[in-house]
Amino acid sequence: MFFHEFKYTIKNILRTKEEIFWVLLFPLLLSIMFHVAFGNINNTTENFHTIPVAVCLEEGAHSESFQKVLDTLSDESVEDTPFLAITYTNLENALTLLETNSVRGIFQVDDEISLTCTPSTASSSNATLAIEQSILESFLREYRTNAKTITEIAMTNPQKLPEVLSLMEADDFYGQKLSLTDGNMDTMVQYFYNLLAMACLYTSFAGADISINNHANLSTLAARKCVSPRGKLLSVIAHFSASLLIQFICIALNILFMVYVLKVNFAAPIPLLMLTAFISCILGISFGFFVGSLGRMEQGIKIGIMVAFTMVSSFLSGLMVGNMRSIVENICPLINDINPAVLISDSFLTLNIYGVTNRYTHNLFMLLLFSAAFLCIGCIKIRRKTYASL
Amino acid sequence: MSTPVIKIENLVKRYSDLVAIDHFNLEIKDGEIFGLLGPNGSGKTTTINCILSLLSFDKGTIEVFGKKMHPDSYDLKRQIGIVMQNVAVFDTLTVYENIDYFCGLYIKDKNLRKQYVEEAIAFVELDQFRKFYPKKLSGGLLRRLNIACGIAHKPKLIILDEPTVAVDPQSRNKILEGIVELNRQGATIIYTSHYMEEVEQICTRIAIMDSGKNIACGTADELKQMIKKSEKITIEISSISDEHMKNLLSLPHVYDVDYSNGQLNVSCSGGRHNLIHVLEYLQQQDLSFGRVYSELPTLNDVFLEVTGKELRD
Ligand SMILES: Nc1ncnc2c1ncn2[C@@H]1O[C@H](COP(=O)(O)OP(=O)(O)O)[C@@H](O)[C@H]1O
Ligand SMILES: [Mg+2]
Repeated sequence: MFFHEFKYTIKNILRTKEEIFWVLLFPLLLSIMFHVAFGNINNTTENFHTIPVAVCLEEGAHSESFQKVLDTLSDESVEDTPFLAITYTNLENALTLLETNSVRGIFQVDDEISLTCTPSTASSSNATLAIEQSILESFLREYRTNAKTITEIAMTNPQKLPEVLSLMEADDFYGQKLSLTDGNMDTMVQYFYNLLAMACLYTSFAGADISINNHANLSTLAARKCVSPRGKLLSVIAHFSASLLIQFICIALNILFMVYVLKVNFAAPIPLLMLTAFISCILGISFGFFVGSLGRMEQGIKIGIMVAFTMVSSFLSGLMVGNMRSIVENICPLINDINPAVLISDSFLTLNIYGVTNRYTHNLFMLLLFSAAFLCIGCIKIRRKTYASL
Repeated sequence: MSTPVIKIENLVKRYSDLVAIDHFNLEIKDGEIFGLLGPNGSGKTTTINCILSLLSFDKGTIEVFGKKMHPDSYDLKRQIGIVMQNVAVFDTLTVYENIDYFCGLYIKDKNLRKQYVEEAIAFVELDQFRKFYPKKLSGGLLRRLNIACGIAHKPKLIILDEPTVAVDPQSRNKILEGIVELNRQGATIIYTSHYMEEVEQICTRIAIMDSGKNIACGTADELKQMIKKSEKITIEISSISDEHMKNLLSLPHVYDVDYSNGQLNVSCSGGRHNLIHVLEYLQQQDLSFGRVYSELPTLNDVFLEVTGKELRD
């Protein structure tokens, strides 16, 4: 009985062109577009160079771990163009180096870490200089807030460190975002995360069908099914599993396409990417199931709700405007904490950069929590057996 | 006496302010083809949906096969086949797959199901369309698919809600013959329609519904005997005076005479030679007339007499 429903749901979904389009083809096309668009940026933007810095070390709380990080970032065996070129020296020498423009900044390390740069008046006509200083600043800022994680990665997985830092962004002269390492690729990756998040939310269309096909007052088909001797719960579970399977395969194909065809720089192992996608699909379908069960309204309105939700959610997570997320973070951080598109794209992002961390598991937990809430409401509604009107 | 297949007592169903079913009573016996006849909006579909426990109702009891029907009376539902008023098939499944899907809601055994599906396809004569999607089927074929989906599992009770709406005459006849055949094979049938000819043609017993009430129930002949009119004589005549009409009215068994659009209508109740009496009178008076025909009462007349309205749309 379960298999019967499961089999026919799969046939139904595979033959519903809209559902396959939004979850498979649409993201695929967008990813190609992103690839083409960013590919050009890659070619035209000047690549990032190693930044020379002076470091004055004194015994202190931070010295050892920070030095480890600096060493990793200046190690040519880790990366061809390391982030930093370091001169260890005393403060006096360092200041001379700064004045002669041989270094861009001085890190003074004891209990605290401080950064000294050339007073901007000196040679601020030089845009590159300003950018590099800004990058050093944000590097330090990032280190201060994430010292533990960064040090840990430097110790255990030095190859990953440049990537971690690629996440940090510095404002350049023109107010545009610039990545810390030479990866235009890496800012581009974020668009792909957001794209995947959007695709996962589009699985809600399939979710809505579960409701519409099982609530007797939502469709003739559902009414017809309700007068058969098959239990509703079984039908819903079979329908849900089948939808999840198909939609997950669509998203998985997207990921594989990005990784193997577009060569998007996803560092995380494929199974973990798949796990993330799987849980995101659960969220998308549960959300659709919930929207579908909202009551009797035009199917178009429900589709509208789902599209609007997906688009707003994706917009706020930065699908269209790259730094949207940090803008939102400044205005109302709570939105980022609960926005499903942010949770999904951030799961991909942290996974690729830090691996499985608390932040990653927290994101997945939130996604599952929301799914559970949507499923509960949907199931409570679907338990209804007789209707006041059809 | 065996338990009735369906027994409805004092059913009341309201849609907020509108009373759709108003103290409705009905008993359907095993082996009947029971017709529920009523104009659009009289409450046929609502009654069916109450029987199926899809709709909640305000008052009354409904028993199916002698048991109270609940939404999870799966043992009862298993024995019911339903053909809904609105076609309920998947656009994404072929004819064969649709029938197999719905049959599979009732029949677990794969081989048996396969056999049943084949039989259903043969029954509605859709064999050459088995790979077609519903969108590609004409109205009549689509209705036949809808029927096949409802009856493939060989239910003991088959409910068909207006299965012939928007169907060409040829398909309609096929459908009606099919229903009679299903009945011959042992199924009890409930058939709703607003076409009295169909109901009269196939139903063994008929209930006439109006505004949610069961206003008359019986075989077609019984229903016709309930009313005063037993014969309607229509005569084409260019003009006739009130005097003549009064005289016609005084003929034996004639109880109503009216004239409109060049047609003289004489309604008679009882009597065997009414037509002859009327024609004799017209000849005596030297009135010339055109075509003459006499009709026995129809269910429409029954409906007209008990409700004061026409049944036809
Ligand atoms: N869902 C509904 N909400 C409100 N009124 C309804 C609803 N369904 C039917 N009705 C009303 O109930 C009456 C009976 O309808 P219905 O059972 O569909 O009649 P029939 O099947 O005989 O055409 C009609 O007046 C119709 O307008
Ligand atoms: Mg109806």
